[in-house]
Amino acid sequence: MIQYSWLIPAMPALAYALIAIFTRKSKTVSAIISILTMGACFAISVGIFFELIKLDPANRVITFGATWLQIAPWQANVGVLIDPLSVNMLLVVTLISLLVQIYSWGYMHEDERCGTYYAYLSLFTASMLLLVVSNNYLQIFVGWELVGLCSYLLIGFWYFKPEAANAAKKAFVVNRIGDMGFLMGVVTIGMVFQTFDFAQVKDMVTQGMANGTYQGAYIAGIALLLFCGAMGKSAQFPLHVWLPDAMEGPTPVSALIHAATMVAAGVYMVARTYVLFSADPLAMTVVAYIGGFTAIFAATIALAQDDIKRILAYSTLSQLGYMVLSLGVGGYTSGMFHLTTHACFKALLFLGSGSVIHAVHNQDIWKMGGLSKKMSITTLTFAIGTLAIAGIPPLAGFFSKDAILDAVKDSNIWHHEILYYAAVFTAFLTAFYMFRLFFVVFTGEARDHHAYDHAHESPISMTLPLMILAVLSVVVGWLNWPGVDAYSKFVSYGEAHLEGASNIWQLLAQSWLSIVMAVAGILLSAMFYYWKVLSAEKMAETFKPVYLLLKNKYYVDEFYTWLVDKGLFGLSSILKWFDDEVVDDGMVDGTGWVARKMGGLFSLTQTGYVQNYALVVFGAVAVIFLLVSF
Amino acid sequence: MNSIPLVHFLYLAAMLFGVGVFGVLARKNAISVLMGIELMLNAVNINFLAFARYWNWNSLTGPVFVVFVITIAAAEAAVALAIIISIYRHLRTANVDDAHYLRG
Amino acid sequence: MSNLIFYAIAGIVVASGLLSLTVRNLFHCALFLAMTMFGVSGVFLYLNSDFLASVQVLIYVGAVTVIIIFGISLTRNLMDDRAKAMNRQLLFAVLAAAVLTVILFAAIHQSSFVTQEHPMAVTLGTVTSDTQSMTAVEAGASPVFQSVGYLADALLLPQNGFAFAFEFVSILLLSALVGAIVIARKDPS
Repeated sequence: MIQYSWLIPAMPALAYALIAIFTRKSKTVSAIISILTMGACFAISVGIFFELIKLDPANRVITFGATWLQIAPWQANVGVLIDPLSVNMLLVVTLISLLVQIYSWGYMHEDERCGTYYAYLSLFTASMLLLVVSNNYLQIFVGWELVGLCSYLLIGFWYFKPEAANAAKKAFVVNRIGDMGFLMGVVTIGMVFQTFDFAQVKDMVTQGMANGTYQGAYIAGIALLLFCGAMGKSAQFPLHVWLPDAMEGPTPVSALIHAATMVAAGVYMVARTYVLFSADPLAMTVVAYIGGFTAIFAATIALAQDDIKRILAYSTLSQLGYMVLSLGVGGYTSGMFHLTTHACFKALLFLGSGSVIHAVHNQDIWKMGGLSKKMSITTLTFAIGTLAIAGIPPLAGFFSKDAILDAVKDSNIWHHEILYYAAVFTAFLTAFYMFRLFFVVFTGEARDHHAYDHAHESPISMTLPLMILAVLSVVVGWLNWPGVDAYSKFVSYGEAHLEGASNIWQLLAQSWLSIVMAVAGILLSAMFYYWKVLSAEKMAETFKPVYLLLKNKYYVDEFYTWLVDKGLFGLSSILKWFDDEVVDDGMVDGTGWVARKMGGLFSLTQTGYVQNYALVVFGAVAVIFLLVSF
Repeated sequence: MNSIPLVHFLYLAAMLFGVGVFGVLARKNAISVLMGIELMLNAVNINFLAFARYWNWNSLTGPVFVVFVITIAAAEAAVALAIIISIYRHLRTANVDDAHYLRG
Repeated sequence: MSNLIFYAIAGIVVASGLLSLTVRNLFHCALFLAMTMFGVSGVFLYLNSDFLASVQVLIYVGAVTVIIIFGISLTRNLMDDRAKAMNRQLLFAVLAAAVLTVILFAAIHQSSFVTQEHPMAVTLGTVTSDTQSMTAVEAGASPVFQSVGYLADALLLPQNGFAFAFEFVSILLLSALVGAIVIARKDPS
């Protein structure tokens, strides 16, 4: 089965071509092609997984490929790398993508451009899979950029909406900033190591660090360049601004972006190039602090948002911060584990919110309410997702989040206790704002009766993925059941790092703090929004500056606007002045002026009198004679 | 000894050449310019024959070249006069000064 | 005696050459040019080139000068005899010509020809007749100057290497002839 792994990115790409060229007009055929392809990809991924676990753990890295370009001394290859990390990603991406595509049939089939939508989804997934199976830095970059392109196409799918078009542009531009760093990192790798191959670079770095060929800081510089790309794709502060706006796209696309295909790319890339990051504590510290800061920063913003998808977007930012933090503190396995569990419950939450939006045709949580009576499946699954992201045992989020907290606590980077308490506090905030969302949307009285009356449960094509994801959100965490540690043994960097707890009770005892924080968050949220013993309005009134700060997302967008306005445009106007006055008038016109004047000067020699020319010839002969003879 | 030294021929040729150069450079009329050129060619012919006579006795190259020079001078005179007549027809003058279309 | 005649001829050559390029009247110019050509043919005789001397007279005096007089008469009708004969760069032209002549004189003066004794420096009798020329040959000159025949051999026998050039020159002459007619022809339009 592993030898067919190249089909995994190839088939959706082919499906894209088929749909885009032939069947775009037919919604049903396009959807069937796309869904069947993705199903086949998922099946192959499962097959590869089972083939891989049969192998001895030492032999679980399989790579093959072909030469793509030969530019001496560099060789650009295209190839496939199958190891536990990529298989993990393959399963996540193909499964989430499959479920999202099934769900999309219910959500999008009324849209007249449904065929195009499926084409984009296929290309999106193909790009992500190309990135995942890549065995070299160049190919990962190609997939990376394709993912960026597809996100642009899908966020701006409803391009006639100005917000969607702007959000698409914003996502693309912000990602470009990060990608610039990534490209520089890739080129630097090519220059330093003369190869783009992951395995060769890994060997060279390992040996070079051992015998002192490379300075740690040097490798860390490359790693941080690569991390710029990850910051863009995985929406880490300060390049996070595109992700909340990306919800302008269709909701299933948001699910796909947030769970599997887009933001996971950054985390995956850091994990894939982990050898570079782990070479120097500086790189790790930067990564950890950016992740930790993003986690708490985004969580606080989520407290004051009113748009259901925007809250989820900030929760994604926060959870991505967790993953990056985990990678930064050396928790390679826990970071990837959280990526996997988060993919399940975040896809569930987004698809659930899509189901809600589909029912009430609105995204403002204050216009919803009491929907649990109308949409039992959505409510139930959403509740599971909310509990999972809050980290309530024994749901998936608990295991992965606790593993991250454990990794932070055990790490030895600079002031890791700050990061630890930030992460724990973020867990509290997460529980609070997620249950705020849940209570406001699904419980209490209906606020907008017109919308409420028309609300209905979504069709089976939408609820089926929800149910599957709900089950997964419960059980995926059990992969790392204490004492079994199946996931840790499978996906690990170097020696498998097993959690300290040897059974579930020990684990629960160890992680009492995070459980208490999560429960406290839920209870506080319930007091505000369920029992209504506390008034959120009064709180907002009392702490109005803080509330406004959070509501306006710390004014980061405004700051960027100001920066572009004053900084960039100011610089531009200076440059424009320089261009107008110095370049245009001075140099361009000046060149012409000089040429014209010189021409006028030299044209004086072109008298047109033949005898003048003859005089010059004979005079020159005379002068040369005189010069030679003296 | 009443032989004439070689250099006297050379001096004569040099003077004739100088006169020709002067004519080419200074005369207004195109036909006079042509005359100057003929004088220069004659000076060259004198040199050819003088060297053939005094310098390389057994070679006929000098006289042969004189034959060629005379021939080509005749051809050149014919073509030059044709050009002068053509210019005269266009400009109603044969002054070299007046044909200065190439002025920059 | 014959030397004196040579210097007289040389003086005539230079003087009439100068006059042919300085007098204002173009007919006079042409006549002075003819005189110069005669003088040059006399100089050729002093160089034992009787055939070329006669060719010089035939072509330059008989053909070129006549063509020039034709040209003068064809273009003269509007010429103003009172117009300046010299152009604006007269001064520089005189200077350039003078400097060139001086340079040539200096070069000749410095050369080895001044002192070198030449083995074939033959004594010449009077140069007024062919027999005198023959005398010079008998006095040790090369037979190549004896008659037209040697020159003809040199030009026409392939082994002498000039036959091709000679034929080519005849083509050149022909094409110059045709070209001159084409150029001078009245424009049909």
